[in-house]
Amino acid sequence: MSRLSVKWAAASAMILALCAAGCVVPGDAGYGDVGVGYGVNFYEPFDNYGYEGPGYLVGPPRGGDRRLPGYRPGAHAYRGAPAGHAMPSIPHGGPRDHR
Amino acid sequence: MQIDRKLRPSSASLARVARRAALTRRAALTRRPVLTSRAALTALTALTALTVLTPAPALAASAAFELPPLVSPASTEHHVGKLVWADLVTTDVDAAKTFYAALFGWTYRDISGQKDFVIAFVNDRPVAGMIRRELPKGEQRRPAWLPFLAVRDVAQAAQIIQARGGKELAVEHNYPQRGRQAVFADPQGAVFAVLASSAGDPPDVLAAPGEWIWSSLMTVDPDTDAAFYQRVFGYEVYDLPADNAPGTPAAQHLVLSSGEYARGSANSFPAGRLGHPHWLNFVRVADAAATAAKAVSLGGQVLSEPHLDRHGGRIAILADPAGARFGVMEWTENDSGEAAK
Repeated sequence: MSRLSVKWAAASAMILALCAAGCVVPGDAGYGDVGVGYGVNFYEPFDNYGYEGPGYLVGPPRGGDRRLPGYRPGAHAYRGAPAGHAMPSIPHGGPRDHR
Repeated sequence: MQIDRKLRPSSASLARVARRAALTRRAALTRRPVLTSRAALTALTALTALTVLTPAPALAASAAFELPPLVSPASTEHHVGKLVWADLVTTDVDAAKTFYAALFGWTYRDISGQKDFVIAFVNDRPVAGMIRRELPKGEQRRPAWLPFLAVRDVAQAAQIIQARGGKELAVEHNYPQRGRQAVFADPQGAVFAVLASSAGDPPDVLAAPGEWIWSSLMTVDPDTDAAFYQRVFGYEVYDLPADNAPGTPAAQHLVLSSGEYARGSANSFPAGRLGHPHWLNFVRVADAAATAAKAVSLGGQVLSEPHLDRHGGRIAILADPAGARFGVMEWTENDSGEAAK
């Protein structure tokens, strides 16, 4: 041990470091580092919780709804769909065998 | 030239000097610094630290961690803005597996090398991931379902999200077979992920029972949030009439669509129910009332009783035994039979 070559030690260190760096997930997008990537931020804060009543009318439209004649999108932060566009619904039908 | 004979070296001594010089030169050329025991110890300590500081799961991850492709066989379909996946982040994966298997008939496969992560399947199609994540002691937080919305280019989406006030929670990363993904919080704090699937996105057909069918953003400012998501996913935004009861503030409902299909909605919280903005993801079921009752029998909660939504389709808001919120929705072919195309 006392006669280890500096060159050999340096080369070994570099190889090991490169191997380690090659395996490390840069950053953490989730899975590869389950213990790290899914941080506490992915939990919801403990807010007002419990029975929330029937006020949730948040489902999809059936589609085909036309705006009332004379409809004009109001002033919004978003860009409203053109008045002539009918409201779409969610996908339907399809080739799957379990409808 | 005369040289004093006493000073003139003999040929033998010259040879000795030359030999000595040669040996010295060779020694100089071949001499190497050596490590003392202390130096060697320092080097080994540094190497050990390097190895220890590199997260062990990460070291193992690239070799062992393989998510199933989103679509198999791979397709070239891409539906930007569509809900294509969801991950449950919870403290007890085993309890979650039991609950959702009984509720939706989900089956599971472990991911090689990951004891804290499973994939849920419906009819052999992967639909969700479940990840165990410990909460630090004293943290009062709730397990949650994290929706993944389809994009074509994660880096581009990340750029827009951050430029518009969103926050990156997990940087872009590529998973073999799955694609690139990253996790963000929108400007109001609702957490969502984007995924550029390398196998294409699931086809635009009615979700099967047990699959994700819809996603609703519950927020304090649907107007601003819709603008944010419109920038990221290119949604067309449709405003629905407010549904406020007399004497209550108007609740705003906006439909987010892409590819001529509704993909989700941005909504005010119901009157008097302000909370932390979040995405609420819905699973298609055959009977919302029966599913809600079963959820309760399995230790879950009903947060909003089964009720007819404004356009049809009965929905209920539930929570699993650990508290993660999700919705269930009845929907038939007839419900969207009038879809505008």
